[in-house]
Amino acid sequence: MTKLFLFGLTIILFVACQNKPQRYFAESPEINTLKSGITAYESGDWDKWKSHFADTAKVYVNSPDPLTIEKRAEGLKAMADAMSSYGFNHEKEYIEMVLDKDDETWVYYWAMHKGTLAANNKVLAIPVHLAVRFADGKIIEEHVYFDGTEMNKEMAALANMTDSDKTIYSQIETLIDIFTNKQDFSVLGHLIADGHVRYINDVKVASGPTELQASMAPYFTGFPDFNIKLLHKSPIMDNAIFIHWKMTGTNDGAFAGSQATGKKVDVNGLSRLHFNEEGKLDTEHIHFDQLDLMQQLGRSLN
Amino acid sequence: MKKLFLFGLTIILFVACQNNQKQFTMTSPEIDEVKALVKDYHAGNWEAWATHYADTAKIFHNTWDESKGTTPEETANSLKAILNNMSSYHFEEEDDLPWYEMVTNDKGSTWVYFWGNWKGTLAANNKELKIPVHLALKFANGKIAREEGFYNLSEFTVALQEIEAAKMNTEASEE
Repeated sequence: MTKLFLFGLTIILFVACQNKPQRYFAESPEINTLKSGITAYESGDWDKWKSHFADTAKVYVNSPDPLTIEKRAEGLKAMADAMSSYGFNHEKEYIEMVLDKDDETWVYYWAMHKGTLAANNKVLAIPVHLAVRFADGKIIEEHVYFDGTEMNKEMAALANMTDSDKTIYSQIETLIDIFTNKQDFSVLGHLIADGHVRYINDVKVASGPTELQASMAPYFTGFPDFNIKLLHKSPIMDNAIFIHWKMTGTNDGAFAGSQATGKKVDVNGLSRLHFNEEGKLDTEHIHFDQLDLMQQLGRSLN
Repeated sequence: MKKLFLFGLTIILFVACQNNQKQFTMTSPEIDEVKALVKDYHAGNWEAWATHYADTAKIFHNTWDESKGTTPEETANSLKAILNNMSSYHFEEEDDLPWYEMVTNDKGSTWVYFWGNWKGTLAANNKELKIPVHLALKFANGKIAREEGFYNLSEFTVALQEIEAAKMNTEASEE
């Protein structure tokens, strides 16, 4: 009798369990689709991004009023264009799927979005939540929640930036990324003013593009992987700006009268750059600890 | 032996079934706790509002920086600073909103999720603001141990700046 009872109970439980479907999922094809959409967003592949949505999908971005997919793609593209890099922190992201009481399929996503503004290298870190409804494998509804205060403030400031400031920021990018880090001298004509002067620790080291090129040559020979990374930038005042930078390199060539040591060096410095009315660099005051650099190469004062 | 097997199977099915059901629900004491929290928020009853949180609760609104987590008291103060500008505010009741659900995730943590459309009227100019809000509230021992809030304060900030600018203009023209 007990056996029969247990058997009956087992059957009932089994059937009851089968009748109540699983409603929480840590993995699912819909979760994979959303992840693929996020990857497409991060690589700027807008056609692929759109392909995950139903044509009639509605996207609610911090608003009870929806956008079409086309409008949402335009907005995201504009944001992506203003960023030198952007994407979610995948180290710390949460994603799950539920089937709600109405049997609607929802995927939820939480992650930190990080974007670097191309114009001023400002990094904006914003927690984002997505609630995404699927039907037949496609997204039919997406709700996006985040605080846009800081981003809107930055965008407004950029829109108000003068053309002269934009030119200066772009010239600094050329100076660091193209001339210094790619060792490409072809940009000097556009970058350097005729009366240009460079001082290192208050000693004049170069005047004009040709001397500038010659003054950098020993660094490029001594450190073939010579690299400058911009750490901070001040606001522009009277066409002048302060930049805080980090130089790194491996001493794989002869430098300062010594043979290559193979040592890696790492030196921070500060530059005041002044640009003329045409947006060309006319004065550079560079300050860094030259003794520190030499000590890292194994040299000493004695 | 067979009896033991059946008994074992029954237990396994029962536990599995319970776990399955526990992972997602739209009715639970925890959800009732969040509903009460929203009710106290609507009434501006901050003392009652704070009782829904554990003493050690940390609240993160629009930040995931662990060092920026605030206590219920600090959060109440910043919410009050926002609400002091409003002549009225509430989460709209329309369609299925506000929506509450609870999940127990694969790590065994219990979270109540809230989605609602907040509507407020600025006292200074009667401007109406609508802000969708999502809250994820982690529960421990029946109390909120951690809260993460996601909502856009951009429009609110701009509206306050407009009000300040209007005030300055009025003062300037009066002088």
